[in-house]
Amino acid sequence: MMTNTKPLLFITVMFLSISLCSTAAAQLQLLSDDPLDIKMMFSDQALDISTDSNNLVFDYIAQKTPGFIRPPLLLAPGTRIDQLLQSTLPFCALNRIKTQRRAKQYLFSLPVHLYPSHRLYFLPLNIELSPFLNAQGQLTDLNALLKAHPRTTLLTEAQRSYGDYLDVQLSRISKTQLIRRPGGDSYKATVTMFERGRASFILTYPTTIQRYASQLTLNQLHSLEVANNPPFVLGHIACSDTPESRQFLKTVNEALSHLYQQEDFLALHLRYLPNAERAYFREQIEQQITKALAQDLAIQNNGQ
Amino acid sequence: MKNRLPCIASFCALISAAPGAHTAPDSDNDVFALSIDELMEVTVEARKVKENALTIPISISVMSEQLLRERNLNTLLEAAYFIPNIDVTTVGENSGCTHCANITIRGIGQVDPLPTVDPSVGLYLDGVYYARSAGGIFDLYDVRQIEVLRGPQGAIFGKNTIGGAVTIYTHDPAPDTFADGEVTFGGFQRRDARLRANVALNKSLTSRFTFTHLNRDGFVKRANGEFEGGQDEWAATAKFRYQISPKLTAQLSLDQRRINSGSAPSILAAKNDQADLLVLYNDLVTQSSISEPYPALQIFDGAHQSASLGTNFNSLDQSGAQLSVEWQTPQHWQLKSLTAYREFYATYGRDFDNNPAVIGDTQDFQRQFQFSQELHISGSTLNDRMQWLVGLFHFDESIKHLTDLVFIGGLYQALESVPGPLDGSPLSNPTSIGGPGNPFNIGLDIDSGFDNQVEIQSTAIFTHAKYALTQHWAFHLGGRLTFEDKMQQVQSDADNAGVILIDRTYQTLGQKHGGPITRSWRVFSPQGGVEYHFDDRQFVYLSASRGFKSGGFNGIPNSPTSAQPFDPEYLTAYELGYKTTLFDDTLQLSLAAFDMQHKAMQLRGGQSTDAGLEIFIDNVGETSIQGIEVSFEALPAHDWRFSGNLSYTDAQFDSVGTATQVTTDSKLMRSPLWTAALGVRYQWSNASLSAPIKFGLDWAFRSKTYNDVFNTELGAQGSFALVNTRISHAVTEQMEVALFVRNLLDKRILIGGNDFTEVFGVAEHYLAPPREWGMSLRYQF
Repeated sequence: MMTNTKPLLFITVMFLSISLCSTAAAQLQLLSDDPLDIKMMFSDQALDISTDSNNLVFDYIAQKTPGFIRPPLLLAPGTRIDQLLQSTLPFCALNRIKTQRRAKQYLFSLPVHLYPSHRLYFLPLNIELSPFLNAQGQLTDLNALLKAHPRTTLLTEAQRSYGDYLDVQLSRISKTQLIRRPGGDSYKATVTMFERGRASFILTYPTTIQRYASQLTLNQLHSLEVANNPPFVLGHIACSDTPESRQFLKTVNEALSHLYQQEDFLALHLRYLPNAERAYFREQIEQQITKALAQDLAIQNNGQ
Repeated sequence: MKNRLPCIASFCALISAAPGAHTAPDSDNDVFALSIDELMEVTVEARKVKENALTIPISISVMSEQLLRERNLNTLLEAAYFIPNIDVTTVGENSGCTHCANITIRGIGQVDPLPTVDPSVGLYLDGVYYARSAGGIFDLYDVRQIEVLRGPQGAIFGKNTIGGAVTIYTHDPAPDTFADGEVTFGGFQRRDARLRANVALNKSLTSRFTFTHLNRDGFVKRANGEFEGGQDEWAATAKFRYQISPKLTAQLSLDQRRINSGSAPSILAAKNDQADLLVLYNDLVTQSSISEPYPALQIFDGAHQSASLGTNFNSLDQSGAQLSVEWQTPQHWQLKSLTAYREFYATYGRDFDNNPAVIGDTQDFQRQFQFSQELHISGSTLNDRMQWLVGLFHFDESIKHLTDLVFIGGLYQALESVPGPLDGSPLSNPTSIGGPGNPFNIGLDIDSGFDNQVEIQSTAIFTHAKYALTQHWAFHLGGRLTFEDKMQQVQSDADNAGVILIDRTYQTLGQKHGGPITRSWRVFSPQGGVEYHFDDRQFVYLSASRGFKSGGFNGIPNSPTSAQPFDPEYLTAYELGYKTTLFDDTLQLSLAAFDMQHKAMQLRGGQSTDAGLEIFIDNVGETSIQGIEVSFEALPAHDWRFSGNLSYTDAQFDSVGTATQVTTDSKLMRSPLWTAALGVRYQWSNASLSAPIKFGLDWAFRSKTYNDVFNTELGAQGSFALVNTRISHAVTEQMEVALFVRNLLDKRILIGGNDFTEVFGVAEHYLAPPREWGMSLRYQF
């Protein structure tokens, strides 16, 4: 009986795999979980570091690559993007952080932009913070802060990576103090929820809070840098592993290698940062670019 | 995840199962081995011991795995249409949840899935109480049987079963090794995969694994291209059964489930651009120019279209573990211990107005921890004339729930922006809303958060006995004594006004209107009855029972007065029933007539105070419910099978006290006067076919149902008939192909509805799927 079973088993598995994995023609599609990207990408309007840097890359490719057709950009929730990037269809997503786990699951471009990292934001609270700060005024232990104040809550976006370090920190926080909000509109919605007092703290990017919070909130807002968390994160284009997306990433990386040498690339980052910190960030960006290029070269050499 | 996970899981499951696999599993799992006649024998565990369904004095409906498959029913929501006198919705009045089980039986149900209010119908999975509605709708894969018990089941099942109990049993690991799987494709890009493997690790240790991945697009399309009503879900279970000795068995079950989908599918059913609050807001912002007035609401002729751009999510992350130990004592008594732990994080959010305007937007974030321990022993004495059961039960629950409501976003700022009160009174002594700093404005800051933390401990002792007085007469008696402690911490605020409305937390302990709210109850739930057995094929019974639904707290209080607890509600039921098998066991017939008195019902009420109208929940309602239920199964010829049921329920409010949402003329929500179902199955055999082709046609009817407590006509579901059909054929000994169509007549069926056109300008319809087709391929390895 087993001899009859195995071919059928194989056919069934193949049928299952093919059916689940093939739903559309192999045209590469870009994804973003930010509705503002859908509105502002591919426009000439300056908006923020991520949008401007993506626009710079695509403009450069369009200029230098005759016949290049820009892939369509679609809105999708973060969790959906994570699934699509692991499919066998050509999908690429903008503004993705490269973590160790993700690096094993899908492909990444060179860094498209350098982003000031997540900070812990809060409106005035009747809490003594000094026991939780180091000499540099950084928050030493997020879990300890929340544990000491069990009625406080931290608002985060569901299934979004905050980078390797913060992801570990978040996993240690009591589940009853963590509000994770899913949904495709989570950047704006979490900031709105925070403004309306639904949580004591929010962990988000400075640019996100700057973009979505009201001026009233911004005037009252306090924030802390998290110790041991990289001060900024690198945003990449991440793709599923398909021939189409590999070709697309090759084009993107070639463009980035050129753009890294240009002042425009640095300028669009520095434009959104305080004057006093521009020199520091210029240096950091240059260091990161050198490092990323070296890593990319090493990967290519290993691949050969 | 979407594509690779099922591929990998299917591969792993198949490879792991294949080496020891053989193709002769027990009949319990063999789709094709069951003879149609064998289906007439139904064993149930409605009284925690295994009994024939036709010999127990309870109005009960049973759906086996085979029947669920033949009818293509994958969830309790889908199955409920074909079960008499039960209604299931996921959305309550207007929550937008896709996985919450809000169950109503005989008109007794739950208005809203807020966890500060308990359900009226108990849901049990493998004997373990599923205390909250979130996560209660799940794929019924590897389910052995569903039993729906109508009427209060307090003596055996305990609190919160005044409407009845729904018990779902999954398969235990079997002493064989086998595997099977099923893939389903269909409308709305449906791609489901279900796999299970039963592995006998050695003579005494067996295991069983299941994996499901369900994926489909939604059928309500939003203006931004997103869908509502889709499904993206996976679940996995693992069970290990160890036969320690011939009389001692232990079983460990682990489960994990994740959902990530959009809001429950809803559309704008009607609009009123001149609604009170819309007009007020538009006038205010026009006067002060602080914002744009609301544009005209968009409503579509298309049945499945929404202009919504706002909140759209549902998620569930659930884990459970269960340890069951069964021991047969030297006296041949059965001792069973059931230890269970479950935790989940559930979220659901929706755009109330189905439009870009922020007229209404709600979000719920709920985290739950549940622990239960049950111990019961059963046996028989006096030469088996007396059968008895004694048990202990403890339940510990911790809930953290944040409700975030935004209605008429910006109204408070608009009121603050005009120069003075709208009635012209001086701002220093206002008699109306309007003007900066006017305290009346706070009442219209309908932009609120309710942060609840609830701790519950419940302990009960219960017993039940049946005694056969003579060959014909028997009586049964039971009771349960429950001790319960509950505590609520709640904080609510009006956001724009920046006012904390309530702070009943430990932080305010000792202050006026401060500190947690606590309440304790001790309740006895008796049950008894008498039976007369004409012979071994027919009997009549008369039973009486009293159950209680636990008290609770107002989960959305807006003032100290409204933050008050409420007590349990009680239901007393009398039931007269008759069950028989006729015509050489080819016809089974069950009839039940019931009369129920519902006292101290928990209804929303109001009280005028200096702060205005304060809404709270109070034990003020009384209802009378009478009805009948009839069901039958018939095998008129070898290849034919008919089943059907009919219920009539006349429910009325006798008293509503100070309740503000209902009157004595109101109808109970989600309680149709009539429900009916009829199913026909036929198998066509031909010498050229290796197996018969099976045809199934199922029809269900519901008379008009009010979906909200206000009995609004716009939110109501008119009477409708649902028709499903399925055709299947075992093309080989191992492979079955099935084609099915659900909602063949493409009826517009609501799972919820409401009407707020007067105040907010919108009425919503939550929709069940339209006509959908599909194909399943099932393979037994």
